[in-house]
Amino acid sequence: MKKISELIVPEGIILDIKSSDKISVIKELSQILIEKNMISDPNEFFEAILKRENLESTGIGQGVAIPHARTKAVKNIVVIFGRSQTGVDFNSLDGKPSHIIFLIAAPEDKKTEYIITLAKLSKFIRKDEVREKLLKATSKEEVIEIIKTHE
Amino acid sequence: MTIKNILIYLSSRTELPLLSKFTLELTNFYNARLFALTIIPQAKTHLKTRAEEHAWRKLYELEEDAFEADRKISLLLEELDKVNQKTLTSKIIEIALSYKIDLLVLPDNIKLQIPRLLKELGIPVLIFPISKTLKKENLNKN
Repeated sequence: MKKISELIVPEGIILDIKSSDKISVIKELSQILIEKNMISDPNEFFEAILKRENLESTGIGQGVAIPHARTKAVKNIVVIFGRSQTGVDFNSLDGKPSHIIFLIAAPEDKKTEYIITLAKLSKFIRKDEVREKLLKATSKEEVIEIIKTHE
Repeated sequence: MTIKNILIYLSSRTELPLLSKFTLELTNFYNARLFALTIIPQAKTHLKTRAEEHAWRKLYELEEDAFEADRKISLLLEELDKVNQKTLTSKIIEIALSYKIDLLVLPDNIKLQIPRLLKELGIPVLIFPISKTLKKENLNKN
């Protein structure tokens, strides 16, 4: 079972997300997956991730959202990190905009690993110290170092 | 009777598959929104870290089932200073009131103040017999 720091790569980190709405943010983060050839069918992936967004809130509160999808279109489990200065409305139950966004993409046959990754990430990101550090990080390497230290 | 919001409480000992199936069928029947709640101790210990990860796993397992069943779900993880029958009951009442819950589903393997829940919430409380169902399943297997 890989650690979160092993599932995230420097190219999968955007320190300043340009998009301002949920759907555009997901597309901006997913673009990395397409560019890095990590998904075989972008349309199938978008469909899966947007279906979930329509069914539920992936905003877990405290300024964090974890959009996620498990589909045949994904080759390996991958985590993409995005940070928004202005915040994005992910319909969190606490009503707060999300500034830290982790997008998780997983292959359909990796259900257990996918659920464990979601659980590990949700636990890790609830620590105040981690969120504060991620919001202040000035480089992609620093983001990975914060994750390595605290996961 | 209109049931718009259903709350299910999951403890760390809750066996999910049968309870999940039952609750999602119920949610589907009423075309309701499902809220899944777990409560963990607040103490900053190694045990808490494990409990929290375990709690999130339960929630995401149910979320995955809900997704496959096309049902709306919201996940809630709450912490308590001291977890006992009284504080758990108070927290569930607080959450149920704040999310305007119309129906509460509980597994039968947790100890709560049921008369107090019924009195203060004034909504139906369904207690799912996990232990009996599991025993029956095991008997059928044997």
